[in-house]
Amino acid sequence: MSLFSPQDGESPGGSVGETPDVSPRKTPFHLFSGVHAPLLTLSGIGLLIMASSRTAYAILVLAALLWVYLLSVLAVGFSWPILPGRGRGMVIILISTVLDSLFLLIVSLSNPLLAMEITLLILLVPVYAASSELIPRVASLHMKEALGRAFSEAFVFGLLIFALALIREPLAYGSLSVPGGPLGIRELFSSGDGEFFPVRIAGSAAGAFLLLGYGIACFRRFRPPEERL
Amino acid sequence: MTAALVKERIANFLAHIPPGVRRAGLLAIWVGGLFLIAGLFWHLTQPARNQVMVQSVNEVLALSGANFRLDSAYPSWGQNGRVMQTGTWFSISNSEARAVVFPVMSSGILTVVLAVINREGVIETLIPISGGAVKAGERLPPETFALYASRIESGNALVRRGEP
Repeated sequence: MSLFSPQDGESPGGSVGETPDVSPRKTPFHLFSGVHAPLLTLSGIGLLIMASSRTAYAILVLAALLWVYLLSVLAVGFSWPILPGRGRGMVIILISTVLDSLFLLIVSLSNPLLAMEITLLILLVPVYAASSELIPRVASLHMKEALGRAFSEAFVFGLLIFALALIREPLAYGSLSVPGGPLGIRELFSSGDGEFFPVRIAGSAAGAFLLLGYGIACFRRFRPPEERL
Repeated sequence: MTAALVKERIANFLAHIPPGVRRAGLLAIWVGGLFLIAGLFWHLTQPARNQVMVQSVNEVLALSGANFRLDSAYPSWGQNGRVMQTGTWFSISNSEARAVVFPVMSSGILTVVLAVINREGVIETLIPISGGAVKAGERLPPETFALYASRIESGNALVRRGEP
């Protein structure tokens, strides 16, 4: 069953006479290639660069991505019939932002110091979600399919951030961290003296861009031939 | 008046509203409603968030061997908005000094630092209180802290002026 069935004489995109803004997707979802890949957006790159500096941040951003994507799909899916025709995109972004702020609220009640540190990162999550084509198209998908795609899109991107963090944090800080503890972050291991940082540049944005460049080069080398543009 | 009659009157009323106004009204209700929900959640949980913050910071102070503890947060209501944007202000137990917990931007990440301001309005101590601040604090240039310090000290003067 589709979440939204067009009423008599009504197009799936809104009221009668309005240009429908929801159309069945003809191309499959691609996170990494194609002009619609959410990773190509500025918010996606910004989130990737900033959140991958420490694994503790990456874990929380992964949780925030899952929270925002899945709950946004549910909220938009069920409220679709009463969403306004014009300005629907703005309302969808606002719904994602409210859900995101609730996530930040929960984190700030359990771990306030970490919540302060990751505020900027968490606020980028709905911007990234808005750049995806999935949420505005929820009405044309079955709920299970929409939730599955939302999960895979959020999880894959979160995993990518985590993978980059697994390289950057040991190189830059000589440690690996998880959320928790009095300081907001608990270190699983640390180089100890605080002076020994083997590759400090890996912790900065410049280092992240360097690693990202290597990652993209690897992806271009090994991606399947049918995905090559 | 029955429910059916009320429903009919509402339907009649809505039918007389021009479609453009109706659409704009629906959009305004959505936007206003969402802002209201988020605002209520944040406003109603502020005392609890402040309490949790005091406990967390006091734990860090105990770990670092500091000889003072935070008491309670200053209410942001009625204070100068720009001052409150610098961070969260706290009173210190058995002291006239006050403390500000504020975020410092470092390599795209916010790190959390505690500043203790003495009675004369001068910052006495800066303590990194989050994991990120402990790691990145020593890499931050002193000019960055000087900038934050001057903002906090002038904010403190405004807070003192507003006190009875």
